[in-house]
Amino acid sequence: MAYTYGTPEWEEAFKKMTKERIEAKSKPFIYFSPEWVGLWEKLLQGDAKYKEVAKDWEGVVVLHVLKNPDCGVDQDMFIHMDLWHGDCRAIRYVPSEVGKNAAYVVTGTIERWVSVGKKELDPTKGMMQGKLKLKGDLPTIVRNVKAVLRLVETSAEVGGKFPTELSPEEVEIFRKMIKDMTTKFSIT
Amino acid sequence: MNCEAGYAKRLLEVDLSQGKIQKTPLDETLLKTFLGGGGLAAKLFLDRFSPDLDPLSRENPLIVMTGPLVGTLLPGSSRFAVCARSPLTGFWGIGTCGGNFGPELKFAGYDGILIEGMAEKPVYLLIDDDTVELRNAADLWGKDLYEVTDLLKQRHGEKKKPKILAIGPGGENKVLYAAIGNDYGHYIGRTGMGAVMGSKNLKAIVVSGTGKVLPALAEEYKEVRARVIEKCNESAVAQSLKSMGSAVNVDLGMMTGDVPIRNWRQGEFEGSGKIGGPTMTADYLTKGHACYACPIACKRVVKVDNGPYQTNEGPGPEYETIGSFGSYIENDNLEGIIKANELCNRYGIDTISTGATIAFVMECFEKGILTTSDTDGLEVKFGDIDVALKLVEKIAFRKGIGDLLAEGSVKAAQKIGKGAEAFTVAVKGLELPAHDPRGFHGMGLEYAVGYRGACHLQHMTMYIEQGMNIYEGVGLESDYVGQSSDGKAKMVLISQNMGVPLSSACLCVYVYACIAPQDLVDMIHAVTGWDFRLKDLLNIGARIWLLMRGLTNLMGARSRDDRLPNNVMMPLDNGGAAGSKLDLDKMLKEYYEMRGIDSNGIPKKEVLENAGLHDLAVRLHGGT
Repeated sequence: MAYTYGTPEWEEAFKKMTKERIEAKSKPFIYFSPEWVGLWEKLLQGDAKYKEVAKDWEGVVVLHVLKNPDCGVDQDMFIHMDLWHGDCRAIRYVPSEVGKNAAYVVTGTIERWVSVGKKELDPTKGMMQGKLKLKGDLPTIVRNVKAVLRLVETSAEVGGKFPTELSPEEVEIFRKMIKDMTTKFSIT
Repeated sequence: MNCEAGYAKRLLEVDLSQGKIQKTPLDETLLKTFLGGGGLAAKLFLDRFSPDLDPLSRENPLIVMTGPLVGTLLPGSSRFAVCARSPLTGFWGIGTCGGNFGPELKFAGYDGILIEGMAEKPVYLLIDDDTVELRNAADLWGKDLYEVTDLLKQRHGEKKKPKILAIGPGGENKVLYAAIGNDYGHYIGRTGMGAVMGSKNLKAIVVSGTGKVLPALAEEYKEVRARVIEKCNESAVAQSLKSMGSAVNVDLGMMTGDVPIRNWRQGEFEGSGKIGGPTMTADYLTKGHACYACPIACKRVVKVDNGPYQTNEGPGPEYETIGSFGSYIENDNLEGIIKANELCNRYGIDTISTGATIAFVMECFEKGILTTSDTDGLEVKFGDIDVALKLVEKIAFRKGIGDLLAEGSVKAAQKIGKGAEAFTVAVKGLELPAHDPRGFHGMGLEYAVGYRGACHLQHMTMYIEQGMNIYEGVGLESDYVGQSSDGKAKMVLISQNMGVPLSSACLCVYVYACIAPQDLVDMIHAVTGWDFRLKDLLNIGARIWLLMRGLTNLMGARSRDDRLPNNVMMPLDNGGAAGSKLDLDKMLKEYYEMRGIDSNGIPKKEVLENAGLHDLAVRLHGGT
């Protein structure tokens, strides 16, 4: 059955899926997979540095990952972070209309996010050079730039196999997993 | 008169001693070789004037020069340069500025103005297309820059909207770092061009023009203009500037170690968040403002409603001013900085050198080198913006200790003695702008070898090294580590060659931060119609850099002057650049070799010859 986004059932089912996938260690652990998102949420919730630099931050930040069928990502993904004064309350995939309309959105291709993950691309430089596009109230972002950077830094600390480096079989597994998830959780 | 293909091909020459005014043609070969702006001004100086002249004498010319892009509708095409031998440094002086004076001068049909001599009494120059005359300025002398601008606009603005270039009391009193202001909010601040103007008894230049600046290649012009506007609109750097002005750099620069603190001795500053872009935007901004034809509109208009620092709505402080009256002196009161900015604007003194000189005094006071008996009874302590404001006034009017400080920190330190020189932060006598080389080592090399002293504008080093843009096709790496001296010599050399033409074509550095070198090439090609390629841009850049460096050499600079001050060479204990130490000797050695500079700090004869600078080569090295 498909869950309706925003309902308690959706939330419960999403948590359950993430937990199961984290526990099932035999599966390829891929960047931007549900288990990766779940681990990132955990990491951020326990990150003292983030709590300190983000103590004034209020609101949602969305990581917008542009589609790339060659990596198994057939549609754009929106990873929604509910952040409040140093707390990471939740990280979830959300439907595009929710993601696009968030107050703060950082958009990049999978290749760019992989560069950040590999620490080849400094996120500040990436944003200045337009490799990562930033949407939102700029003064607020600048005032909290350390928090924004720590968010991106922690994403690189989660680990996982990069979607650009998957074998053809893994790409198909990733594609099916994303397709099943988006259907089940109405994330289109 | 219209300017065809980007140029009026006409120079306005004014001899203030004789009251003589003439319009002389500018040869196209000269324009092709030196473009305009600082490059053309330097060539005129080299050909016609002695490098040994006294900067405040009637012999020193004041050269106002635009470039081919000025007055077109290309983004950033508002700028112009003002040049002379600097009274502050004794070397080649150049300041550049945006606003609207440069375009208006072109509309009147002139590429530049060369002012010689000295008027017996205060005068101003009135340019109304072909009608040019000197007017009595007795009633204007003593007025501050905002007042004189108001008066002249009122007096000559019935039918037209004249643009004003003027000095305030700082220039009249020959403060060695006096500025020249254009229409309230735009300043030629660096190297004391306002003092040169003041020494000539020239209070202002008023210009009105009815012509147009026409590109040679209309279709190419249309295409490149659309392309550049789109890039400016897309750029995150431009968006940040539009949203918060250059003050945005306070917040970002604190993370990387770019912001100098407490006369460059400290790495952290708790109050930095109170003086940055978001705070100014939220609490004091009334509106943004743009120079002529600029889509970025980085200028700030601010107001302080109440309290001791109340100011009427007017031009807000740039990042450099927030640095010099904020972090340099450890002051986190933004209202005080806004007031200091207004005072410096009105008095016409460079905010960077003024704030830096005050920071130097604060350190001397802290070390016991200066006491209240030297400072007119003032306790000149770090963090005290009120005492800084009092010093601004004293400097502009050369009152008390202000008379000493009006000479700049280096000359003041020489007079003070007692080891004060160790606390000056200047290169070749020019106080450092607010970018700490410990955060970005390339900036240190740039400051050290700069022809006008420590310079943040006549190159693209900051933008390249901080990764604000990737400039492809000119030999740069795609990424540089800020706190490393490796690879910086080559980076700086390329940055100068691609960046110096900016101050000659007269394009804004913020626009260049959003576009590619090829875009600049295409702009020059479309406007002038010349067969102009990327290699031509880089060759012209190298030629102009060598010319200005050579002029500074003729004025006495040697390798001993290519050094960084003590406070900058010491590693910091904390902050974004904690522990970072520049390897200046290594960078200099590599740079001299790549640029072709000898051990005395002078470009080699063959290098000058190859750059087409035969006359300069002969003047520096002899021969025929």
